[in-house]
Amino acid sequence: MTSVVLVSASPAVVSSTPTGSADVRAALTAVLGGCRITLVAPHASTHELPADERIDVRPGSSRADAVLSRAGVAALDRALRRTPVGRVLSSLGPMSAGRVLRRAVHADALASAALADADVVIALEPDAALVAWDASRRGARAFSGLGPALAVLARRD
Amino acid sequence: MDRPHLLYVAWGFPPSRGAGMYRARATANAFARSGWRVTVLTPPREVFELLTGIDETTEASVDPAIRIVRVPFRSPRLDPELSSWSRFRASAPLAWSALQMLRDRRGFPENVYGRWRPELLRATEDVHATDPVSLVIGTANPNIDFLPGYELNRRHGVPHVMDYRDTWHLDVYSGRRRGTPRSRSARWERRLLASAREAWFVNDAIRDWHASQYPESASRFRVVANGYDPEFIDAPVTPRQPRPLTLGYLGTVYGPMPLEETLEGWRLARRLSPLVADARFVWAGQLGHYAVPESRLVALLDSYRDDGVSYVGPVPKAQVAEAYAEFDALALILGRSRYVTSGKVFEYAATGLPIVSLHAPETASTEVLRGRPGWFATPDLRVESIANAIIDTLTAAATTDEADRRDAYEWSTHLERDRQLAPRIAELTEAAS
Repeated sequence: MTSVVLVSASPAVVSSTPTGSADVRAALTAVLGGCRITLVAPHASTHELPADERIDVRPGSSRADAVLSRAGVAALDRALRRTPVGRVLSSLGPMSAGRVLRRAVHADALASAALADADVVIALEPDAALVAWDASRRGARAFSGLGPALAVLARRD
Repeated sequence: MDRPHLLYVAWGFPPSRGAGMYRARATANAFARSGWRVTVLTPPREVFELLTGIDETTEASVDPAIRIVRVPFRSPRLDPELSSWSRFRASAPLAWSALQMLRDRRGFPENVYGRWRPELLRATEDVHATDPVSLVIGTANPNIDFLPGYELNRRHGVPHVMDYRDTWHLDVYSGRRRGTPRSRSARWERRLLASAREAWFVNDAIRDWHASQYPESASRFRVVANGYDPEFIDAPVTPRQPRPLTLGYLGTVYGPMPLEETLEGWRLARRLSPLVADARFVWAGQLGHYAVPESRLVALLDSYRDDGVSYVGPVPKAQVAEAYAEFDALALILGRSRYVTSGKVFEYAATGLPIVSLHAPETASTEVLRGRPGWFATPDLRVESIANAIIDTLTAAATTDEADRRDAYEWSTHLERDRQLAPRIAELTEAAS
């Protein structure tokens, strides 16, 4: 049984397979055989994606986020995001969506454990790639994008 | 006499799920049916699996006589395996992407696709060396598709046609020029147009804008409108019953559309009309232009779930007739622009179903539908106006019968795609012979 963790930084994200089918479980099963799916995301419990386990994480709620907010970093980041160049600069800083999600995952024991035990980790959108990349450093097969992941897994297997 | 040989350059070709693919597929097929030997240059299908998603059903609709040459496209953007990503790319994808753009544009001034240049030109020369080309058509975007025609013209005198499905330096929503007339890409566009036998645009407004910018080439500018493809819709749709009255949207959902106004108008219509209160609003298609759906759009549709709004995902092209049968009326939602006709307006027209245009009236698609039976339009984008237009449309849809839909379908047959292409193919065929 392959352990698959889907990670999203967005409260509501729908992912389709490369052919446009919305049947994500069937698509994952087709390329991996039997699999157990865990969804790690804000508001995962109300999410429509098929999952055997749903772990709600709360971006912005960690102690580090509180410190950054008090130090005015969050306000500076909001100002930066008003321009295209500012958004690029913001993506390099501690308030980037990827880093905020990573802190939320680190602050959640269940989410951290699920990612540590995962065989396959799939970031459902670019902002979730950093968390999935961390998992790849620990030996998981990790991908950016569900459709591209399925395409690669189908070719390999 | 030998049949003429068309080299057709189309990044977006089956099985790509991109919206521009349909015009490319239809053009290549139409030339093949007209007696041309057709070679298509397009990327490997794996590129579409990774970048835009694929629709396998479209491959079966390509004329089997067409030779397809898959030209490699190499870019780190196509690697979804995170084990090969640098820490910088994983932690700052936007900044990484911005740096990649500098590399993309080295060979040709276009983000992402500029990297295709060396492989594309190599393949072009190979094709011409083994089977001399009579005519090149490049369909854009991406604009790199125009380059093989220019190069074969420059080196071997082969005529080429630029088919603008989209625009390069015209922002169709603001009506303003993108970049300066002296930018590197603007200089490329001028050079390409100067060497082209013809340039095709999808409507008069876009042609006229280009004529004002490039007057020296304007005499060779032609309008080749989009159209609907009869192999997908060839008869009026019969809505499947029984089910709740349903307003439908089928197509790509993207940024400049008045989505919030439409959804608020729908919500208000449900409060004002008992008929609409019992109805559904179903959205089908891709959310954004890439394989990974845009989170903002998903969240927006999801926030109207309690108002009878649902999203059912992309629909393979071969199944659009079945998808339309789930609807009683269609919502045509487009960004405000006198330059935008869209592709879906033609297919919508051919369904025979009532259509409500929920866009600014000056949008170019208004002229496409003017006079069609069963067409409704909001006079402006105020929520109240949209709500009233929806109520009028669904009220009509509730009593629309087979004969009404047949009338609307018959009216729409002049919008068939091949009728738009036929004059150009006839003239180019005569020139080639």
